[in-house]
Amino acid sequence: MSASRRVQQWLTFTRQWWLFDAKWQDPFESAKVINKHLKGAHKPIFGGHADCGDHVVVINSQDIAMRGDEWYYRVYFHHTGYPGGATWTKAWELHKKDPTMIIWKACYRDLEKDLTRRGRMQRLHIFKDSNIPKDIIQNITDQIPQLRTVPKRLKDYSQEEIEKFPKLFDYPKEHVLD
Amino acid sequence: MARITSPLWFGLKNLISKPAIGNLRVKPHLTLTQKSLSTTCACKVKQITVNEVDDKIVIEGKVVPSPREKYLAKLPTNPTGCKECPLCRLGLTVRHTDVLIISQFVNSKGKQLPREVTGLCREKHKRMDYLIVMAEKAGLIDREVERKVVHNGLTYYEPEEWDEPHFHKYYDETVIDEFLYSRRKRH
Repeated sequence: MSASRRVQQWLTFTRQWWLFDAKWQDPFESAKVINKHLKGAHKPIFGGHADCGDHVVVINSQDIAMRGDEWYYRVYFHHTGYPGGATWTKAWELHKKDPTMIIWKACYRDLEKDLTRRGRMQRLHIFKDSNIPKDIIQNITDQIPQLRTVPKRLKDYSQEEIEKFPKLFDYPKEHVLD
Repeated sequence: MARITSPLWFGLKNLISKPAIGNLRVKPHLTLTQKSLSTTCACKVKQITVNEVDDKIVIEGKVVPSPREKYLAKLPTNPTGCKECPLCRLGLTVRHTDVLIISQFVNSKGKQLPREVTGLCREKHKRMDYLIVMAEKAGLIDREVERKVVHNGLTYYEPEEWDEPHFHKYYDETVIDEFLYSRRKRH
């Protein structure tokens, strides 16, 4: 067995730590990728009896993006148990109170509903900023690639970059600039 | 079909008989009186500047060399399909995050330039219209859009601008095909 194959075998039987940057990411698309690593479904020994799940550290959860007006029509339901105790909170209201909540709920909902769910959720660590405590950041070995590229605003480009970008058409002679 | 200069003239033509029109004093056509005759382009102006110098307002039209002349993209000489539109010739599929391309089709106030200036085909022009709105709503470009509407003494706002904070949004461009080519069922 070569050295690289041996390391691969060690990694399958340990709990690895993955980093995921949630900046401009859809929480419901990224929950599927995170859950794959929480279950250990990317490993060859994955099966019903194998406890091979990994840790995932999610950062920048306050900068997640949702499609269109989904912030305003996605609603989270909660009932206290008492009569008249039902509440409906919109996604932007929930995100204002706790910016880590939406990703947590998306992962919790996407996992299988059995006894393994609580244990797997314990291995998910969500932070709203990029400030991670030292005892967590020293474990991280690799990162999960982002699903969509982070867009850049027009303000963030310099004036030279905007001017020198290739133009698709020229103004006609009788054009009045405004 | 003759040009209709005013609704009054249009009404008279149909209602009153021809000799009666002759007795009325109607404005002459605007062709000779107001339009100036010129051999060169009458409005060959690039930039209009307005300066206020004590008790005087000076409006000046300057011919300015266009800033885009140096950086024009090379379009293919033998295109397939649409031969006029620059987007079709290059075969570009523009997304709403391509801010540097979208900002070329927009004037300083953020309004879309007309088709005679940009040279886009009708389909791409409409598609670009949607892309500009998407980029503006995602907060990638800035526009001077009036969200407040005053009507009958009441003010109306767009729902996004009430109290909610502006979180990150993204859009899916495949929706544009739905808008353009298929009737959408709304409930």
